[in-house]
This record gives sequence, structure tokens and C-alpha cells, in this order.
Amino acid sequence: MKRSIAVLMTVLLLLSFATACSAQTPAVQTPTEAPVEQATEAPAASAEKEPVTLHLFHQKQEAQETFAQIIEKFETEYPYITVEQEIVTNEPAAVLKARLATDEIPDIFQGALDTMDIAKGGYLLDLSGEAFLSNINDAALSSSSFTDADGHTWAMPIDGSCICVFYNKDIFAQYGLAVPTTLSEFDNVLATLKSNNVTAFALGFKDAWTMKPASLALASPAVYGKYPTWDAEKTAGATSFAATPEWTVVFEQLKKIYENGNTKTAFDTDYNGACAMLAQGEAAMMANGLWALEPIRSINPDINLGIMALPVSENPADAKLHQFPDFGLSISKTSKHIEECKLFLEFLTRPEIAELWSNSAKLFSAVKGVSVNFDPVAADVNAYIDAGMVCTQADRGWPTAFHAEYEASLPAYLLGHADIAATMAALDTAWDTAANAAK
Amino acid sequence: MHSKRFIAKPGANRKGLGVTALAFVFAAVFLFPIFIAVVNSLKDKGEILRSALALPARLNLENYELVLTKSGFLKAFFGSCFVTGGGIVLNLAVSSMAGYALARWKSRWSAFLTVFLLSSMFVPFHTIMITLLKTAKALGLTGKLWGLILIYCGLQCPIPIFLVKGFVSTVPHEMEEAARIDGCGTARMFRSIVLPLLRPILATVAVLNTLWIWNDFLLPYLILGKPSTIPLSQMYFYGQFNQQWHLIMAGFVISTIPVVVFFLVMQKYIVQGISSGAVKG
Amino acid sequence: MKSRTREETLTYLVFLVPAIAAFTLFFVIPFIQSVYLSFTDAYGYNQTQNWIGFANYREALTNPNVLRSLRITLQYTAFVAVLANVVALALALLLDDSARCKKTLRAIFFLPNLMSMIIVAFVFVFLYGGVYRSFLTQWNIPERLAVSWLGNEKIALYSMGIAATWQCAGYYMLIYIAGLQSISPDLVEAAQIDGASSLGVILKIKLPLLSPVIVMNIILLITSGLKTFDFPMAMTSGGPAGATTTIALLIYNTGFRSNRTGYATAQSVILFLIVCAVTTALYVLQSRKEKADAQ
Repeated sequence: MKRSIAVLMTVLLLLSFATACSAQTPAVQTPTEAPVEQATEAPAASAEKEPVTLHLFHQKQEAQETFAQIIEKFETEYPYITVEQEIVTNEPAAVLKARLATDEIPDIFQGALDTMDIAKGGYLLDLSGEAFLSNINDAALSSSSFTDADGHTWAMPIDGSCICVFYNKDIFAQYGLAVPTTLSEFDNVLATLKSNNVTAFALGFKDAWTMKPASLALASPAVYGKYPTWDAEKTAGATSFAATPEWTVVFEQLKKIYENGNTKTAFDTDYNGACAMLAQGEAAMMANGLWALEPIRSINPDINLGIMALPVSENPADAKLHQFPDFGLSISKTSKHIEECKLFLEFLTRPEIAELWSNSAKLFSAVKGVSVNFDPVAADVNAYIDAGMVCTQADRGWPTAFHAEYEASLPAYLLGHADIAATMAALDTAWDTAANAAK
Repeated sequence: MHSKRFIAKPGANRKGLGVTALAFVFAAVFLFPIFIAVVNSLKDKGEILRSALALPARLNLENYELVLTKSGFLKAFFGSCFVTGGGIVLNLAVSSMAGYALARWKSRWSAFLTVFLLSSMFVPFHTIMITLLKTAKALGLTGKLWGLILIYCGLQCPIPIFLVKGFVSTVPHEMEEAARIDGCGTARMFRSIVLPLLRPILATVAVLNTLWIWNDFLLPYLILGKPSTIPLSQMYFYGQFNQQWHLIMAGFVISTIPVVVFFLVMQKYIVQGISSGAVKG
Repeated sequence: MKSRTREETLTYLVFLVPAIAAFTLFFVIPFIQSVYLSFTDAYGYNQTQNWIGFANYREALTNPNVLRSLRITLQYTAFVAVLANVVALALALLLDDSARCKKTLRAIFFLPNLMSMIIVAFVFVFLYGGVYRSFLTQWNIPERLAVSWLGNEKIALYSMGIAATWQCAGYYMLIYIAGLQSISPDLVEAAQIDGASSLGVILKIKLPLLSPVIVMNIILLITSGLKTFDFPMAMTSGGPAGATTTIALLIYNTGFRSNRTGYATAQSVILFLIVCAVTTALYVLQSRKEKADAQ
């Protein structure tokens, strides 16, 4: 009995200790309380206007510092506004759903791939017609992940990324290879590398998501470069995966990448492992997004890296780079401070702020006239942009529920569980189900 | 019991050595992955990507420094202590009573209730997540640490109840019967006879519950709305495209130390068992 | 005598009230509300939904991916339930017997439980990948004999099961130790005096007396196995080619990535019904056996 009392005492002690400490440092602050206190303590600069706190929700963990800097500048200009950023990287979609369902909606937030679904639920403010949007590149703004077919702009794009092939320029130079622009040139590159026992592609398919960028680097120029309205036609039943030979090219080329890489260990190697292979010269190329630059450089800062698009036909003019607006922010329709939210978005479109953002995020800017040179590879991308050899569209207009089915079809096809015909048929069914569910 | 343990039989000693050696081989297997985690918490990001196995080039405590300063760790630590401490006390009280009642109550309802409680374990948390939050909000529990504790009590009581029930049914009735004959009511008997007997299983439950609550991420996040417990502050370093494993590892080591200490304290009670009790009389 | 029984029943009911109340409030009510959604076309962020009867259930039960996930989950659960139980029981018996440094060893075996799932997953990804490959080079093992632990569709699920066993065995070991301690030492001693070997004691006395605890642990392992989510999420994201997509991961993907809330709920109700049936069966078997033993 005495000992059981001792157990209880230990627990109680621990508890009282915790309570005592949490009393000193309040462990919970409800989102609205704390900042208001701060604001009232602040000097009389905010005397004229009521203090306002904006809640900013996003999942870009690597951008926290940059946001903090931008917010500081913003708060200096508008002393009565406080911006609190909340970064959710673990299950952001689940957290955001919960927030919206319980009416705890952030004032400004990143809807990411769900933006259009959230808009359909009636949670977002239509930004079209706002003056500050004229600072944004038209191509980025009109992209289907920000502006819908009826002309409503549900989010403001801030930066742009690209999906591409990273290649080791030294290895290419060593074997006298040039950047391929047609399918037969591509085959030659693969053959040369193979005869010299060089692994052509670094594959990190243990992280299943890495297959999708590789396929989009092909699908964007092959399908969407030719048929910009393919998604709408597919939903309307006017076309299909099976009836579009370009989709077959995408899957065939993807298999070629798979067969000319670390094929045996592809599903054992993760994303970081694939980046390490490229960085350490164990493979000549890797297909992924611009975000892979950071891990590659952190392993080998001095690698002579280049960026190229993948050929998708015998016409060099088709080998376009998939460049797309990426991060975007929306304003909650029910926010109590819509005017202040707009002030913040406007602030983000100022050239000096946009430059700060792009340089630290190592991404391209969606703001007009802002060009950045954060890394030697940026020159390669800029060359594509300047030559008009970019294609902005790929998966962003797909029905939400289709993404998972598409991602599942890639390994099934690569591992030989389904042939081209079966894959196309499965994708057609999956698209129809997904589009129907979203109606 | 104690005296018996010290009278070693000849031969038992050698056998003991063999068993111990075997146990230590197992222990080495169990420790290896933890060793990997600690080693990697001392490297920088590039080093981890180059090789996960190699020893760090130098003793690098920057990761720890960064984790402690950047993620609001101390505040989160106290938040975690409060939620976990409160959660355990409430859960132990509630589930020891319920588990005992289910074990001793000779009724069809007892079996039904047990299965009913157990069945909740088959529902993935994400299924009830949104509706649970709506309920919590309607009851005014969101944003409050004690609200979170109450919810934990409801969500996490089935396994403790099941464990207590299983344990009680292995304990013979005799003492309770004897106490009854002495005119002891059920409530008093529970307090003065049953609870002390339950000590090992309650200590076990306390340890298990501590782990669930301490390591849980999503529920505290949604209920509290701010990173005020430890996993939340750890998650700060976790992102799909940009996993800062060196910081995650350091955060893991720091956040695990308190639970390890707690476990080492509790383990005394787990093992003591009923050796001092009167059962074997 | 009758009044005593009534007093007892009343006390038991009072004892049950707090647990049942909290459970009802925070589990039963939200669950019933969720079940309603499974009969609707609830989608992502839409604020209204329409009643569509059993359409979601029909789709789930005819969708090959759902059926495959169910099969994968059952395979995984059976594997872990057997392996973890054997390991945990072995560890408990080892520590219950004449080993030294029991406390230290027990702490070591329990340590993995203190680690969060994500960290365990990460460490095992390292072990199966980089660490294993450097082991191969060191011992000059030819590439064709190498095993692709997480990359092979036939093996990945079991590699994951080994990681899970490593993490949870200490937990079940503790429960077994608690069970072993409730065995009267007199029984063991009596057997030893009769000349039983330690193996004999384990087989003839300890295991039969532990059988309720064994069933309890099996039930616990089945329940946690059937809703395994963190390991496939963090170790393989369900791959390769969906070979480790457990039903809980599928439900998560359907609900939170594909936004098909109603359909996802229907999937989880199906999982719930299956598992209820399994547990009830196990439970009934166990109670019957107990009754038979008592007679």
C-alpha cells in the first residue's frame, strides 16, 4: 500500500511540477489572445487604428525565416497589423480540413493542391480584379491552380518552380554528349553512357512520389504542350488516355528512364539517396523538381550541374521545360480583416520583397520583372524561359482524387503489373470516377 | 521470496550466465538502431546524406543547440508534462475502476461492454477526427490543456481497461471474499485490497499511456492549435521535400530523455509485482 | 445475500460510469456522426452532402485496390501478431528466469517503444538501405544474392513487420512479465522439486497459466496491426507498387489526399466491421475456454 502511495505521489509531484512551471510560462496561448497583448503593449504608433492580427498558415517549412523577415518589414510599414505565421508540415491537408470544419479558418493560407476544392466549398475570397494582381506574370496567374475556368482567382501565385532533368555537365563533357532534343538523340545519350558503364539516371523510387515528377517532365511537353485544353476535353469525354498517343510516349519514355538507371536498387533507394548518387557522380542524370537542388548541393556544393528538358518527339521544338507557378496564398472569405489581408498580399508583390523571397527560396518569382540568379543552374532555366521553351501545365488541373490513382499506376506499369493498354484503360476509369466525385 | 532468491543452487549459476549472455545478444540487436539514431544526431545534413553509418567527423552539438533554441522546446516540454501527467492520473483512476468492475461483474453486459470498448481500437483516428473536433468545440474544450486531457481519457481508456481486466481475472478471489466476510464494502475493498494488487499493471499502463500521449502529434495540434507539446515542436523540422534528419534525430534524443527517466523510475514498480502482497501467504 | 449482489452490481455500475461517459462522448458520438457520412457523397471541403445510400460501400467492395489493401493488412497483421508475440514471450521468459542485470535488460528491450514511429521508420530505412549495402561490400557478397528489403514487393511488407516487431516487442514483454509475476512461485517450486527442467516448467506451468495473457496480447497485436498506418506511411509510402498500402493508409489517402470523405468513411466502416467480427470470435473462444477450464 505504501508503495502504491509512492507511485501516486511521484505522478502527482510530476504533475504539480508541470502545473507550476506551466503557470510561469503559459503553455497555451489561444491564437487571438497573445498577439493582441503584444500589440497593446506596443507604442502609441497604432493609436489611430485598431490593432489587427492576421493568421498566416502555410506548409513551407524552409521559408519560415524568409517569411519572418518579410513580416517584420510589413509590420514596420503597418504598425497596427501583426502577422502570425503557422507552419504545418506534417499532414497539412488533414490539419487544414480540421481547421475549416471547426470554423478556425486562418486569414491567409496555402491551400496547395486543394485550393480549387476549398474554393468550391465556398471558403475563399475571389481575388480577381485586385490591383496588385497586375504585378503578377499573366501566365502564372492564369494557371489552373490559381484561376478557374470562370475567371475567379482563388489564390495568388508567389513563386515558380520547374520539373526537369538535372545532369552532370562533367560526365556529359567526358563522353562528348550534348543535351538531347529529340527521342533518337536521347537514345544515343543512353547508349553512349551504357557502353561506358555509366548509370544514366539516379532513381529514388523508394519514395514513391519521385516517380511523378519524372513522368510530368514528359507529360507536360508531350501532352499539354500540344493540347492545352486536354483536361477539360477528357472530363467532357471528348478524349481519353487511350486515344492520346502522347500519353503512351510518356509511359514508354518513363520506362526507358527506369531501365537506364540503378534499376535493381531503384525501389530500395530513397529521394535523398538518388540526390546523393547524382551529387557524387554515380549517375549522370536525375529527373525531379528544382527543390532537389538543395540536397544535391548540400552533399557536393561544387558539382558542375546543369538543367535540361526531356525530348518527347523527333521535333526539337517539343522539348520544352515544365515550369509552373508553385506556392500561392488565398484569403479566407470569412476573415474579419480582409482589407489587411489584401495589404499583405500586395506587399508580397513588391519587387524588392519578391526578390528577397525568390533568392532565399531558390525559386523563380511569379512577380513581373523579377529575375533571380541564386545558383549557376538558374542560367539554364532562364535560357529556356527566354527562348519561350517552357510549358506551364501538367497535373495541376487534374481532379483531386485522380492524383493518387495516377501515382499508383506508375510503379504498377514500371514493374510490369500492367501493360500500356491496361494502364491507359485504368487511368481513364480513375479519371472519370475522380471527376464524378468532385462534381 | 527474497531469502529464496539468495540461496543459489549449484549449477543455477552457470545456467544463469548462459541465459544472461543470450539476453545480452538480444540487447545488442535491440540497441543497434538506437545507436544509429544517436550517431546521426551528431552529424550535419550533408554528412547524413553521404553516409548514415559513418561516425560523425567531430563532436557536433550544434544540432542540439538549434533544436533547443529554435523550436520553443522548453515551453513545449512543460506543456507535454502537464498533458501527460494529467492524462495518466485521470486515465489510471477511470480505467482501474472500470477494468475491475468488468472483471468481477458476472453479467452478460460485462462481456458486451468489453467488446464494445475494444472495438473502438479498430477505427482509424482519421475517420473520427473531424467529427471529434466538432464535438470538442461544441463542448468548449478546444485550446485548453485540460480539454485535451479529458479527450485522451475517453479515447485511450479501452486498452488500459482491457489490460486491467485481464490482470484482475488472473488474481484469485480469495482475499476479496475474505474481506467481504469481514464486512468490507466493494468500494472500500477496491481501494484497500484491489488497488495495491493492481500496482504492476497500473505501472505498466502508466508507462504505456505516457508514451502514447507524449509522442502523439495530431490530436494535441488540432485541439490546442499551437505547438505546445513536444512532438509538435519536433515536427517543425519535418517536411516532405526537406527533411532535416540531423535536427529530427537531435530533437528525438532530447525529447526521449524525459520518457526514459520516467520509465526507469516506474520500472521499479512494474517489477516489484505482488511479491510483498499476501496472496501466496 | 440478494441485497449484497445488488449492492455489488450497483458499485460496478458506478465504477463504469466515468469511463463509459468519456468514451461515449469522445468516441461513440463522433463515430456515429462519421458513419452517417459514409452514406453520402461528402467530398473534401464541400459544406453540404447528399444521401447516396450504399453506393460508397458498393464501390469499396468491388474496388480491387480496397480488396488488395485488406489482404495486405491481414498478411501483415498475422505476421506481426505471431512474430512479436514469440519474441515478447521469449524475452519475458528469459528475464523471468535466472538472467542477471534484469533491470538493465528490461529497460533496453523496452527502449524502442519510447521512440516515435517516424524515427523508428527512418532508422530502419537506413538499416535496410545504406547499412545493409555496406555490409554486403564488406563481406564481398555478390549482388545477385543481395536482398532488396524494402524494394521487393514480396519482401517489403515483412521487412516492415520486422521493424514493427522491434518496436513493440518490449511493450508486450512488459505485459507478459506482469502476467508471469502473478504466477505463484510455489507452483514453480513444487514442479522443480518434482524434477521438472526449466523448459518443463515453462511448458507445463507457465505457458498454460499465461494463456489469458497470451490471448490478450494477440488481440492487442491484431488491433494495432489492422490499423497500421505510420510505418507504411513513413517507410514506404505504401510502395513498391502498392505492396505495403495497408487499409488504414488507403483510408487516409482516400479521405485526405483524394478528398473523398464519404468514400473513405465507408472504407473504414468496412474495416471496423471486419475487425469487430474477428475480435468477438477470439473473445468468445477465450471466454469459452476459461469456462471449460473452470469446470
